[in-house]
Amino acid sequence: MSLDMADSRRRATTHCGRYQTAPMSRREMLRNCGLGFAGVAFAALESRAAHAAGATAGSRGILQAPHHPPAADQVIFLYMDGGPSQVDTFDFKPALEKFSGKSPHEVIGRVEPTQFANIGGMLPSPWKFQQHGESGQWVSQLFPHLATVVDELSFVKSMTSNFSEHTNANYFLHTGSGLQGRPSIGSWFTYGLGSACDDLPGFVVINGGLIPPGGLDNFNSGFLPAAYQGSIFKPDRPGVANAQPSEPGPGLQLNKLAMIRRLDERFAAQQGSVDAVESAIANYELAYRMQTAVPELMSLEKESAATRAAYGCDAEYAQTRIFANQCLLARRLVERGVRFVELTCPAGNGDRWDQHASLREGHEKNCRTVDQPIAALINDLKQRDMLKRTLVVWAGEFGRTPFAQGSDGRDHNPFGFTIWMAGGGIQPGVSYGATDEFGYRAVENRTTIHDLHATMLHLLGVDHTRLTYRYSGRDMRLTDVHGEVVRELLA
Amino acid sequence: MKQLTSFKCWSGWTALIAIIASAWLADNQIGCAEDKPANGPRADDASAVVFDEASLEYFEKKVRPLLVERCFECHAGSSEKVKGGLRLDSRSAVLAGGDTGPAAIAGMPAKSLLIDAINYGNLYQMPPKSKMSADEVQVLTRWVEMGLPWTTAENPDRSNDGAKAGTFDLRKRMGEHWSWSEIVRPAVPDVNSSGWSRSAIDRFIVAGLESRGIPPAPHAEPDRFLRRMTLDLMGLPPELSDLATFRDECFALGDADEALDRSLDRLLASPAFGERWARHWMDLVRFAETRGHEFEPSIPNAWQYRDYLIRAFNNDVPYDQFVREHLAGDLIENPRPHSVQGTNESILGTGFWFLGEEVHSPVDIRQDEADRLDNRLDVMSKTFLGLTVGCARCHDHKFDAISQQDYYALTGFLLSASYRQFPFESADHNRQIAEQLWALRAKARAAFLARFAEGAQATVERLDEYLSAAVTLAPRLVNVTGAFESMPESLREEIRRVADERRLAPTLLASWTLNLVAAADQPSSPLHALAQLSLGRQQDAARLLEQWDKTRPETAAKSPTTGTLLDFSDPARTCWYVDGVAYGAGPVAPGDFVIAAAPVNQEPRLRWIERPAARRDPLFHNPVTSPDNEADPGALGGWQRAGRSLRTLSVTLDSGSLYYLVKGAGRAYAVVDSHLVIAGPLHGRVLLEWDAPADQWKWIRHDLTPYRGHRVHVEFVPKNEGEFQIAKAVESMEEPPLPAPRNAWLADALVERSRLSDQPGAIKKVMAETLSAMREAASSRTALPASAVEWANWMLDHQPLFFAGAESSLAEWRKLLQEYTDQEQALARQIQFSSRLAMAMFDGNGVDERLLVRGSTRTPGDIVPRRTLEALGGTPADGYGTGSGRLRLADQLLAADNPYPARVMANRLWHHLFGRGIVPTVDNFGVLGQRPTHPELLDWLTSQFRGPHDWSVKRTLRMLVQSQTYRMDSRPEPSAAANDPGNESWHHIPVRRLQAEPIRDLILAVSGRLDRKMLGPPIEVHLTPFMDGRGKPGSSGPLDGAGRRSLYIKVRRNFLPPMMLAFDSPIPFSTIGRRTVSNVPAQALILLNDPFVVQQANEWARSELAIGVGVDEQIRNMYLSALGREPETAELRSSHEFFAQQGAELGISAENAIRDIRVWSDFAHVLFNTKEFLFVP
Repeated sequence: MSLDMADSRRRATTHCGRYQTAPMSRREMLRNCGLGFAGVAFAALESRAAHAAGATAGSRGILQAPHHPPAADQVIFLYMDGGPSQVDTFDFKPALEKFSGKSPHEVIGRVEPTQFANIGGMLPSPWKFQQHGESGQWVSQLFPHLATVVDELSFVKSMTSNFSEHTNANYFLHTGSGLQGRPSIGSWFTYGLGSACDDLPGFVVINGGLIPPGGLDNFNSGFLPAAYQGSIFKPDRPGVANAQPSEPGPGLQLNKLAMIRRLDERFAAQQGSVDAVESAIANYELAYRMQTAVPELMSLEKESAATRAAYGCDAEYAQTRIFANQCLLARRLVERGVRFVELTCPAGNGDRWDQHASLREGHEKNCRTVDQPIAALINDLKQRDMLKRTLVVWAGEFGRTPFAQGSDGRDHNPFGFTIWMAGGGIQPGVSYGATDEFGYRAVENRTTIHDLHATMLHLLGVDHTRLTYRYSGRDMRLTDVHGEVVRELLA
Repeated sequence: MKQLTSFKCWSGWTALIAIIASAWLADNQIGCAEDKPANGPRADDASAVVFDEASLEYFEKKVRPLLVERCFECHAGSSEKVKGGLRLDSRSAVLAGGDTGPAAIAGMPAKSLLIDAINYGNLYQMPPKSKMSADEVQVLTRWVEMGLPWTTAENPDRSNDGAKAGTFDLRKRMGEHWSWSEIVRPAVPDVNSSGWSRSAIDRFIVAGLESRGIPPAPHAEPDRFLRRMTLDLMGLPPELSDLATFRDECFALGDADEALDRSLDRLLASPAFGERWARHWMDLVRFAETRGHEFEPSIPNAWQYRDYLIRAFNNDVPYDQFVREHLAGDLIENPRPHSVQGTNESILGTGFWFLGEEVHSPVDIRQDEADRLDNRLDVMSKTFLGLTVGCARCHDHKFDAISQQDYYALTGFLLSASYRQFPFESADHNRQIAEQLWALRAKARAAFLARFAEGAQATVERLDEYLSAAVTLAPRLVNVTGAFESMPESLREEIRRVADERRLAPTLLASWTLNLVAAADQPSSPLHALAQLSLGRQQDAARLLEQWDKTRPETAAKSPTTGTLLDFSDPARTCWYVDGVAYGAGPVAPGDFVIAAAPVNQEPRLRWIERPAARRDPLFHNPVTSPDNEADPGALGGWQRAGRSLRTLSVTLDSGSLYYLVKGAGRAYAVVDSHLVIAGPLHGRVLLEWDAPADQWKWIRHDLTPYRGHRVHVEFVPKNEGEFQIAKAVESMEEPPLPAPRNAWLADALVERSRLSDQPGAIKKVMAETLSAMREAASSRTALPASAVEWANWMLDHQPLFFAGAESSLAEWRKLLQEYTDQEQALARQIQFSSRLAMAMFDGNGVDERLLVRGSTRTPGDIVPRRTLEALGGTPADGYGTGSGRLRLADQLLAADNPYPARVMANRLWHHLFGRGIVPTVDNFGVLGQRPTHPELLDWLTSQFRGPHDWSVKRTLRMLVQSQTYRMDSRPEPSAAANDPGNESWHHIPVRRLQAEPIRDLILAVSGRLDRKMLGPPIEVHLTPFMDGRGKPGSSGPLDGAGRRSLYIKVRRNFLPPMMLAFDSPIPFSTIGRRTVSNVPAQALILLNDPFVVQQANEWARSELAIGVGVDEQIRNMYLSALGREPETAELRSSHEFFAQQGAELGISAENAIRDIRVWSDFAHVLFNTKEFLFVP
């Protein structure tokens, strides 16, 4: 019955190259994650010596060092909830004019089942396209501001997803699996790399108002420890839950903290050196600092009038103002060293980017919301010399059909759609992959969500096949058993 | 499309499904098994084929470079890894193909998978990165057309075919891994320091410690131990009264150990025990009350399963029984009754299967099902077996002795049953009523038959005479209306004359004659032929006979049906899957009687059933109700299904055009690929409603053509209170013929049919035989034979004719009928329509799943018969019966030679008390799990659990708690910590942080806000401003959760409480037997600033102040409540200092501060934040 453990491990390492040796002890892991606190002396509350307390803050990740020199340090993920239409934004398909109104079954041939099974005629884009910048990339009228920074952007026009439903596709985009319960991409980044920020969580989601279908589990840590959960911020004060002291005055809280510390000292001494207890004690120091850091972070009014105007903080359109604040906040977060920042869309535009009907009105609202703030974010990062170390990703969970749903909408299309990346490690101003002449199926350099994840991890110095976590009898990966780095996009 | 031939018997269904499935594939894809010519000859032929120079040049110039460039990265011997088992570097390899069949068929590009793939077909899109250009596609297409010319007849080296090279040796794997070994009860070791040991457990531990020279930690202090034990067993702290009782007993008994034992007894008997251990179990079965996904549809009445768990743990249901109830509680012959209410508990266990996610409106409904089933299997195997069977979905398990065959063999059990809401409170009661009713009916049937036969006897004896006379009179009575008395005198005279001649009663003769005349226009009357002949309509009669001949069963046109889901007229196709007793004990059969619902003030009428069918008993007309019941989400929500569903066999659709033969208004839910949440744009057509007449059969079409090739069963429910019957459900491209009109096939009974004079005698003979059959059935207490039913009903319809002159018999008949209906009504009044509902399995016919090649629903392989894991002795046995066979599966899993269920559970019990399992990876006993630190102890514990303890969780926990090992302090001896820093040898009990729920429950208990109310509907989750998204509940639950324990807060998948998540409560997606323990600033921020915590601190301060004891006494009480100990003097002093400091901040004197609610709230808040409060030493 006995099996030589070493033998089983040896065999384990040979399979797909992703099963590694048996897990470390928790203690070992805590230490590696920067959670370990053994030997760290009790520090004064205001001291910064206890930074090692939280994995999400100022900590190293599970990786002792990146697998290779990283091109970028941080990520801003602009999540376009609902699925923007590729053929109305960046994937210019003049052929659609020619086939306008014709049956897609005749024009395209085999048409995959759609979410609403209400397939109309081929639908050309109602917006004009133009080439912009030195790179000459096509951008539709919908993005006048983004068109001005198009030379910084790198398009993937051959994205595919595995799911036609929002929730599955959202989970897939965020966790590499279509089902609930896997760690979010931001969780993987902080688990692997930790965060350079001392007093804020390493994975922040700035919720503009729309939590995507599938809920907060899109940002959850799944089977990874709760330390790697996305922290939900809002673009207005107080920003994050429970960071506002509950006491009317600071002295009241300080007294409490001192009293807590006295009691904890006794308990810790009595228990000897228990890292779980000590790191929980140290947590209070970080929590205390967060109470200061968060209001400081949220002081968007301290930005110059010019910056605020550039982002659109005072724009006429209410949703633009919200997203402007989100983008500005994102910049401030990466400035402070936060590893992974995700933005969700503001509410108030009807149904996200999900224009099953009223494409024109819906996409105009959504574009109006994000166009100026994102362009400003790119410019701002560049001006501050941060763009080259910050990876910016713009993506929806899928695209939309080049044929109509009913008469004036488009249905979900996971078979070919467009995303873009910019900044750290990305070759600017290029376009990778292509859909067929209708913008329906990716046919050239097809790129999967796993490829996207692999590429993002690669840019931050992580080999996606080697960042694993043992769960349910497997060494789990963000990319499962798939994914290839899209080397053509690398600078 | 392959046409199906007739079915032999329904046990042949699985084979049939295979045919349909492959036929479907053939239609939709290329390269499936049906299209696959035999491999052997062609492979052999490969070398023999000779190609001309031009073809070979084409291959070399055009084809080979293309293959090299675009295909060989993954499909050649030189590839790093050959994908899909397919190589394209030799002609024979192309012909042999890969996992999903040949890549090409020479000369047939349209049937070649390779060509489909490069055209980005359904199954494959190759090359995966970029589609070939149209020219390139043309080159390969032409190449296949040319017959695959190849320059050399290579003999390829296939050693690198990754997918096929893997070896899976089940026996070897079993032999090499510890956990497959049977449980052998080990001898308890002799140890030196036996004085320390209190139990066998301790001796196993001490043996380990001694061998490594490690000293165990000392005893934990009794107070501290009491707190540990209380928190572990109840998830709540000891109350002040508990502490006082314990101290009193210590004093009285003079022995802390004995006092602790008494406390232990109280804890195990406390109802809070079940709440704590139910919550542990809920982690395993991913308990949730919504289905997540986009709009969070509810999982209706999921809390009933939660309450079932609480009761089961409190009642210490033996674990084997508990497992059996989970796997097959719906099939247990004698279900375990609720200890008080006597209702069916066992069936509630099956609810756990349905606690997973569900998707509304999935585009790929089959894939969605595969994912759901995978989750169920994953949860089942990890929870009960500690094995990761889910890893074998796409390939044989990489490390464990679990094959891909095993995975699909288990999947069949799940496909053989479906979901329902079961009225568990009324079901057993109603079954008793129904059984009385069925007995009453059997008795009454005999009486009715006897009474009728007697009453009609006299008339039938002279029937031929009356009919002969009527034949002569018939032409005279055409166009005459009204009875004898109202006829013109001349006519009456004539009738009297004929009657007198034959010594017949004139009035009765007139009645018969009138009936005969009327029958001329009633093809369904048995007198129809006679009437036509007697009125001289010979031609019509001839035509009629011709028609009869056509409709006789043996000559009837062949039915156009291609498949059958249900047919009560065919015993081979009869299945009986009903949800409760509303349809009676079985299908109604010819010769059963029904009492037709009588209009007000009219006598009830009796009818004999003519056609076998499922008939909803009108007595069970009301839907199940209870104010607590939640409806299903989506379009099914408005249907009253519970307790009145009838399901068909599960089949794979061929044409997808279904027809149901029904009477009355009904509803059908076609359960396609077990899809459940019928909401959103797709799949609405699986639901169908109809209003059909109550008194005649009608075919209803259900168009499921989009689901050709999908698996389906149909669940029928009546739409309202009226008549509802279903006789058949068939698959057919056109509407099948209705059953032949009544009497048509009775024609055979009429001998010498064309001769008028013989007819009356023949009719009399048949009727006399009918009466004789009635007498026979009455005396033998059987049903009237089907052949007699039509006649018997006609006689019933004309009872005054047959009972003429037998007034006393008629009175008797009426009395009998009245007595019967009275008795029936008396029983009906006892039927219980109110009941709570719970999720449960609904068993159907056994369905075996196909192995899905690489886990893909698009590449189904061979059928894998249901069985348990091969490594656990599973063989494709015939022993699973006609249903799913889950009960047998449960018995197999619980068999003595399967080590897993008992070992895994014993280890879980240990894990929850000691903070780490003997096998630390509690859900994975496989190769990638960790090995047991104390394998012998684990097996000893397991044999104790399974043997002497009779699977009792409580007895086993008691044994563990009473051990010296559990009693150790949390601080190790210094030398122990140095020798074994990981505590693998158990030299102390580790300090553990409380889990999320106990933290919240503790706060409530300490503040005095805890409402100990048990069970019942969940409390809605409190929504913070940071909880948003689709499916957000309409309103927020109370901040303090109404003071209820955390397991009563509704578990909404997409709105999990942030406080719980921060403290690592699991996301309910799969089995989590061991929670992570993380450390995040959000935890500190919550305890410092969350409104709930602040609110409870205020609450606590208020209640403490209200007691009005002295300051020090109050501090002492608060310490005791929160920490289970008294404050030290220094702590009292620093508490006072704290009051003064807070007072100063608030601008009040120290004297006032000690009376200020704000200051006391702050003090309470401090205690909530201490590590001593949050950690269990």
